[in-house]
Amino acid sequence: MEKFSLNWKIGGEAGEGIMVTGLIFSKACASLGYEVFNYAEYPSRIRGGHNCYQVKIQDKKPITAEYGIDILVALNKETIELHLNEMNSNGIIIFDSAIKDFDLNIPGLYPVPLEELAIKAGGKITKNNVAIGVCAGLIDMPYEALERAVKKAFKDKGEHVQKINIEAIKEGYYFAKNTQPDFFKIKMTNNTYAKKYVITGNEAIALGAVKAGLKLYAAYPMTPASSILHFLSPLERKYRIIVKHTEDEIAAILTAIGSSFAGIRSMAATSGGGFSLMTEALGMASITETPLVIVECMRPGPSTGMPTWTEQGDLRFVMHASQGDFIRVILTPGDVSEAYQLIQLAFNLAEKYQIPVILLSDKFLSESSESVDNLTQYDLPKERGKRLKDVPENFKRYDLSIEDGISWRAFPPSPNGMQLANSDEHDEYGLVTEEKDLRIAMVEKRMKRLESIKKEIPKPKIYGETDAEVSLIGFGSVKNPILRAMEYIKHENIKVNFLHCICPHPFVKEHYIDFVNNAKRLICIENNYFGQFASILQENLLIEIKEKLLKFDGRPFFPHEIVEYIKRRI
Amino acid sequence: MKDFPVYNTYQKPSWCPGCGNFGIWYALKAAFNELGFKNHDITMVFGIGCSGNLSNFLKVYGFHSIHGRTLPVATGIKLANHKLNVIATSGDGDGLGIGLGHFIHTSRRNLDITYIIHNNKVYGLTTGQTSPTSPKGFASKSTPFGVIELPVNPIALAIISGATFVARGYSGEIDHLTSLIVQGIKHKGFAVIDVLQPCVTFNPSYSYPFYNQRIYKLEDAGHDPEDFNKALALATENNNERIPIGVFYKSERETYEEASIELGDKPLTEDDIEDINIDEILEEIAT
Repeated sequence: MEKFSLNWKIGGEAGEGIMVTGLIFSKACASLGYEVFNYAEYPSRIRGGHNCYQVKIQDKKPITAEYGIDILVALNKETIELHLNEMNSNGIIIFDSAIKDFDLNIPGLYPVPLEELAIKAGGKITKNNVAIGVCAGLIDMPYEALERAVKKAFKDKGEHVQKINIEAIKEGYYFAKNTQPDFFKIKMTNNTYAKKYVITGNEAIALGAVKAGLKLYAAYPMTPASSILHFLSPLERKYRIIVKHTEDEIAAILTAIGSSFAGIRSMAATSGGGFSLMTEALGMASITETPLVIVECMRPGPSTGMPTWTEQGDLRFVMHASQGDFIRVILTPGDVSEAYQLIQLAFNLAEKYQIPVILLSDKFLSESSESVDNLTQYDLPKERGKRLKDVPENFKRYDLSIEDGISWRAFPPSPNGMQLANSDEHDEYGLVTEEKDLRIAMVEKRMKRLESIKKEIPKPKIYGETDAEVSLIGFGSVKNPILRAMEYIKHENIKVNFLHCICPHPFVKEHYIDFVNNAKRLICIENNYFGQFASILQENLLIEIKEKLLKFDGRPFFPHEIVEYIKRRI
Repeated sequence: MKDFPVYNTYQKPSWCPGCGNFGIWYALKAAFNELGFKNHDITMVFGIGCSGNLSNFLKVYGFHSIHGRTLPVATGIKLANHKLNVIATSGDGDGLGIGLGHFIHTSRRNLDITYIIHNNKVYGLTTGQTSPTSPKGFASKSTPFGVIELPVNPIALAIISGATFVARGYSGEIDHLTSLIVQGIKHKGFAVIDVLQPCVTFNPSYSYPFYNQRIYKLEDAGHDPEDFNKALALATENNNERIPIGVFYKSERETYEEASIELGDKPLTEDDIEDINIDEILEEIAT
């Protein structure tokens, strides 16, 4: 295992700014070359209710949110009560010594006059930063690293705000240096600066889309997709991107389709509820062969479900949504770098094959942040497909004579390019037809693209040992928890491997068959009740998946749950 | 009546003989001719219904969208390339029933789009059910005992929602309608033209004789379209005996495209996306 591992958590009331504080602390750690993974739990309300933000810090990946806390920053009594049972032995609980109405004999308590130090620093509001200063002091983080992170976080807030927050971390840092208890042993050794990015899945999606040449983004706010909107909207002017908060999700997808018809790269994002509203238009993008990129960030359903929690329950839904037979591609990134890359692939596939491409994320991936070293190494060259500049006379937008089924696109106002993008079945110009031979020819033209698409969609990635006793399989955001669980399993002398699917649809049998056939004990791991991915494997591979590890409580898999499941059944 | 077959496709209209859609079809072509538009100068978005079938009879850049959803598609096209002449059409069921929300929001936005409502007060293509503009008491296949609700008022809605050119045409007065369409396209902003359009098959009581006896032209009546209050009073006048056609309301207001500073003079479609540098954003989020 790694040399350094710290699981840090801050808890308090919603509205106390704990997410910002957690992010600053994690960035300070990442700036020393550590890997970090941040995971937030919060209720669907703005004020009140318990919020917590968890940062895992290690000297190497794989990394994910884990159970077992080393440092708990408790901004209120409730945090101690709720998370006491998660404390590791020799873990430490930092709390404001002003809070006195609970059992002070709890092991690991480290009282700090947080509010008093905050007032000394310049204001009560800096309390959270006093707390991270204390943490930095406890773990021997070089002070400069935390100061750099705080400076950057408050750089647009004015000199005074920046100054009092720096004072606050200093107060906390030196308080810890002078008073720290002996029982806490986790200490950092890295002390040189490293440039890293700590970003969420949604930020990676937004960044990848900008890099891909996004020109119009249309969305209606919905957790956990809204942060894509928030990330992109300030970039409108600098990057010439129309970011449109439309009246509903129906307008969002149709605005994206209209602009794509006109020739630009556009995208819409939502969660399951909004995607429900988009389904009719999805088929329209398909029959008109208009490229379309949709991001669906899943949360537990059905209906409003649990808005701020995670689930992978929409896989079957996005696979089958909208009436009729048509081709779509579903991409399921497992981590931040895959999200950044696969959104770029989504644009390429959408334009090259003139199809809808859905990038399927979930709250766990979309809102958790992870450190990455160099994002641009994942950039993909752009493939824009068949776009005509000079359009010949008698242009046929849906030319049936083209062998691969991918006909040329022309854009208004190019002379000769007139066409009808028709939601009705149509002829080669796009004009309506109900004639049977033409109907068959058009369906076959559109379906012909499937063979080329299947050759191009990304293969699953296989991790671990070839002669494994246990083979795990899953899609999307289960990646990090599984890879981390595999690190633990290694030490139990159990050989494990893992197939991670990043494109569950269209299904390419050859991508899975060897792995599944060679598996001695196959376990499908996914965040839903039915085992939707397992059922897709079963129907396509004509096998029975006997073991499914399923979770649908709104929480992601924690590695120890996977480890325990594997060990329990061995 | 002069026709401009240069705008025709090979398909012949499938509307019933006497359908009001013919008048709108002719008026559109005459307007295109008057504006000097070549086929490729025109981008149109159509809905679903008898009005939407128009998509097959006009040789332009066309998008035949789904029911009720012409305006968001038109919005996307206009934002991608704000130099295009974008015209959206829809029926009363299409645009004022299922798509009513988009109508109000697009009016608020004031994009430079011309929107023509084929208003025959009935669902034609689904063979005669009540529509949002059917009068109270209208008996139809879906309301054999008469409609209970009041009708939607597209002119009043457009005026109060922020459309900057609001007119009513009549498909039995093709020259007048042509002039309204030309004015609507020339107008900088969201131009709404509600067209009274007889459905001779499913709503014969609102056919040509009904309208011919009742319509009068606002320009002849000395109406000042720049007077918001008078326009609204006229739009909400409950007089089934005298029906005004012409421009109800006209004003100047910044368009959505103009207010979107990022667009400037160059359409997004002309941007080179080959090499996009995101270093500045990365620097912002780096440790």
